[in-house]
Amino acid sequence: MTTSRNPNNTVKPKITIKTAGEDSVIVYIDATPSRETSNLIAQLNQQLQLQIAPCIVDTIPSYISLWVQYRFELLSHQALIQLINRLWSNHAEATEKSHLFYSADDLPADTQTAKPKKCSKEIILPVYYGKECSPDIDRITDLSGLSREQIIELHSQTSYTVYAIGFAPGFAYLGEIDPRMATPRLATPRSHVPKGAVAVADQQTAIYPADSPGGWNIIGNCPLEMFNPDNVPASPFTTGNTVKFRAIDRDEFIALGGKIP
Amino acid sequence: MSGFAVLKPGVLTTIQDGGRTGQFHLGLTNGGPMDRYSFEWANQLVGNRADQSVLEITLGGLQLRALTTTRIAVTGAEMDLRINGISKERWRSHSVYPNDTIELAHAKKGCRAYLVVAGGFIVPNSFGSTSTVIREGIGGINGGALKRGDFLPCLDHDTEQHLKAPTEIIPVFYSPKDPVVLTRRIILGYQSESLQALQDSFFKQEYTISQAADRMGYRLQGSKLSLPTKALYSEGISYGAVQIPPDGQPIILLNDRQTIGGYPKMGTVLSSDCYRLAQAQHPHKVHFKQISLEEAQRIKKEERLTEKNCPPINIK
Repeated sequence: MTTSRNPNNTVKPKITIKTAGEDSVIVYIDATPSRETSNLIAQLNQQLQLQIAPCIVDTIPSYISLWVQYRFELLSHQALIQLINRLWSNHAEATEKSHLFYSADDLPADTQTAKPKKCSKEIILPVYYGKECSPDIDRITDLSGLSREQIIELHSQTSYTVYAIGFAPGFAYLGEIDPRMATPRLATPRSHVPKGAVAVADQQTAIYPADSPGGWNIIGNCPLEMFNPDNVPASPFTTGNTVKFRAIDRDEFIALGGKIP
Repeated sequence: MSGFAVLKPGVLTTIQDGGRTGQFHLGLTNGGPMDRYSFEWANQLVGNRADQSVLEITLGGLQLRALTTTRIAVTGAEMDLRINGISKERWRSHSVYPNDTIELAHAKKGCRAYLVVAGGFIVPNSFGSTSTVIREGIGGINGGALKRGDFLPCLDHDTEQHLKAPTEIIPVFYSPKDPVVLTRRIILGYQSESLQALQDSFFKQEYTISQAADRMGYRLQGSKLSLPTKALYSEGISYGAVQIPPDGQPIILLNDRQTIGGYPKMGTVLSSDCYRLAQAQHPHKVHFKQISLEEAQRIKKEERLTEKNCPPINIK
């Protein structure tokens, strides 16, 4: 466990590193999901990718963790853990060489000082909240006592953080929605949720990148593509990014390629 | 263009190469061969790189027509191979000529066979790999399984060279008629400490592989492990991770697993043990044995050396 101060002099949460298999570890941040936690994870992820790219196979940033798959022929488990702890604390501590195939001294000198770029890009996505595309708004109005207009306003005026990407390609878990409109998942998931469906579950919201089964409450539809292998990048989301929604009318929805069911 | 025509696609046949890496940030999983050992040997038998595009044939029933002259080889599960109706040996390469019919019967032992051609099948890369992940609609031919009438392009590769795998490397796969217990080596990790109270029961049990065993994962059946009810935030899932959902029945997560998930995990099965697991099916039994991380890494390093030291024998 390592505690330290980050540049703006707030105490960084502790981390715990666990084995996740023969060639992977998972770093747990002792914090709750938040924009700050996601940014700390994104920074650690970026630093690892920058500093020891040849040793990293892949990483998965998520709510309060960073999963790291590494090449143990190049970097020992102990060396990786030391490096992660050091990057987290930003301290240039002497590293015990005996554990390393890839010595900490071989790393670029700026490992200790490198400050990764700010990871919080903001993207704004258009959403059509019309009746044809929002079959579950009534459920939320019933449960919350809010009006349809209030729900649309709360949903489109909040700024969200991409906590994780998974479930399906380009499916971003965005948090957190206003607690007043937090709604549990449907008791029975739908077998068909349309592509672009904007939905909420508990304190999160997401856009279904493709037609799929799903149990979230559908309140709108986004006409833009959330995942297309032919686009560069294939998905607009990166973990740690900020996302906002902009309410659009039916005409704009159709003009942007949206389909009324 | 030269290649093969699909006359019968079989139960489930997909294009697979070494798998997709570096795309977890998009939510794209690995895909790739379920039995990597047989896959790599298939490639080696026709002189390919270890990770070229092959067919993974699940349970058999495949029929192809050659429209070219090339070499093929079949490894993995025991499915009778016939070229123009004549029985041929598996785990060695054979020449095929235009209009030859290649058939793979239903599996007698094991689940998954690999059919390779010299130079590999030529399929466009999607995110750096040709591996088909049907759930994602990515890779292979339009992101799906083979269908009747599909065309599988490959190079025209006229050669008389025949390679055969040394018999000692050919694994004995287990058939459902001959139930055995597969001991799978697991490295504890993830939430294993908070699951400590369940470890006794977990390691003592002989689990049965359930009917729900596919490319995403193998669901096991045994006496229920009662979980502490602590919700987890979804987190990255390793290949071979052993997840314990609320029903207390472990799932070994494999090639087409979702990249993140929120169920607690006991640890991760050694990758080599997952390759063999992929040839087993219901009602085979699985038993877990703990190994240390150091031991797991030592085994993987040794395997690589052994495979390098054991090239196929040229028997021309």
